[in-house]
Amino acid sequence: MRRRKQLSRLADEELMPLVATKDPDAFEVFYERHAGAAFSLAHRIVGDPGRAEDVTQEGFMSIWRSESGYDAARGSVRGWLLGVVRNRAIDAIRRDAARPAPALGLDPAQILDRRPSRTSTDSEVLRGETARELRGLLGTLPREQMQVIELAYFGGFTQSEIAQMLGTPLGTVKGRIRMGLEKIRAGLAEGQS
Amino acid sequence: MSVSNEHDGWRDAVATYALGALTETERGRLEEHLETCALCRADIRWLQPAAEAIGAAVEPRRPPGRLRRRVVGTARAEARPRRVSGGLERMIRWPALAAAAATTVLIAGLTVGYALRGNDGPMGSTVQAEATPAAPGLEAALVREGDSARLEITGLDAPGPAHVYQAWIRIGEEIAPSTVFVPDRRGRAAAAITGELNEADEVMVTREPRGGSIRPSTAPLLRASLG
Repeated sequence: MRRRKQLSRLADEELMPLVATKDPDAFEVFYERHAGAAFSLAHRIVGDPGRAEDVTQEGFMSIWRSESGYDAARGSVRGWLLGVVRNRAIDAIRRDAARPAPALGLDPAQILDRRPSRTSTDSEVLRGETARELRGLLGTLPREQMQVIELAYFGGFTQSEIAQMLGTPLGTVKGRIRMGLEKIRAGLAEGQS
Repeated sequence: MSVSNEHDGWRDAVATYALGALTETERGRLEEHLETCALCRADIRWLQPAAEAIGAAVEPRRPPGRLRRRVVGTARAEARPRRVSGGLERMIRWPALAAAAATTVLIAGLTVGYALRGNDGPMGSTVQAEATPAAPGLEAALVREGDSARLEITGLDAPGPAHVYQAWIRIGEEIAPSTVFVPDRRGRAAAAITGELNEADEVMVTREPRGGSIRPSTAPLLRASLG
């Protein structure tokens, strides 16, 4: 218990080398720190709490069993984990045979509206505040930029699929993604300054 | 074409890459380019937090407590690698269980389950596992690719909070503990089999107390014969 308390004081970047050595206490601290974000993202993508549990479990266990471990060049620890969970979630929805192909007239609004109900607890208020701030930032994007970004990130569609789905030239989709991400990045930089 | 002009040609692809929306082919081409373009690498580092922010901005939801038990419990169980030797009869702690195991061995050849068959491919091989009478609904295959192997199982019951499933590697009369795992909600599991398989006769799975066991304490539920 005392060791876990000590571990909980470590920064993510200090914790991950211990996780890589298969230290279960370090892994537990890592889980407690990021499970909320990972589960929330998984739920947002797969749209079902049970499947979100499976996806989150797969994501954490793949990191626990990984031989390569965290590499700081991949970004923040949380960003890296969310990337792993996001990929697992996209794989899960791709495996779903019920998912219609873009060419069959999928309504992008159906994907963008697939939002979970709010069930945050007191312990997640701080993270909720941060998420709210980020949502505020994303809310400043023009709708057409946010649409392509959400279809790519949450829907798992490639830029070509999005272009086909929206009936928009591929170059336009690429440009919207680029401009949208740059605007988010600039907003983050402003927030840090 | 100057370095700067060439970089400009990749700018949109870099943004889409950060978002994870390139096809495999497109991603491969860009990653090849990244090896020689410091500007594009810097561009990705700059945009990466923006892509991360999208994932971090979702409405918070609290993960259920059972998920913590599944994830942390499995990790704790797997963090205890141990190796023991001895005959199968010595692996079983109690006489009743020894009898059950012996029964399983005796009737294994008569099991109406899943026929053993090898399915070798250029990249590896797949061995269908045989469910024992203790778990007739299980379906499993041991997939070997190079030096790694994983056991893919469907039809597993939830082991309950006090138990896990554990894989074992038998080499002659020696049985070594391998991965401890729990299935997902649909009764599926894909367990990486840790341990030496080159000389192994079979891989088995038993149900064990949480944390795993140093030797099997229950009769095998399935076997994948490698001999």
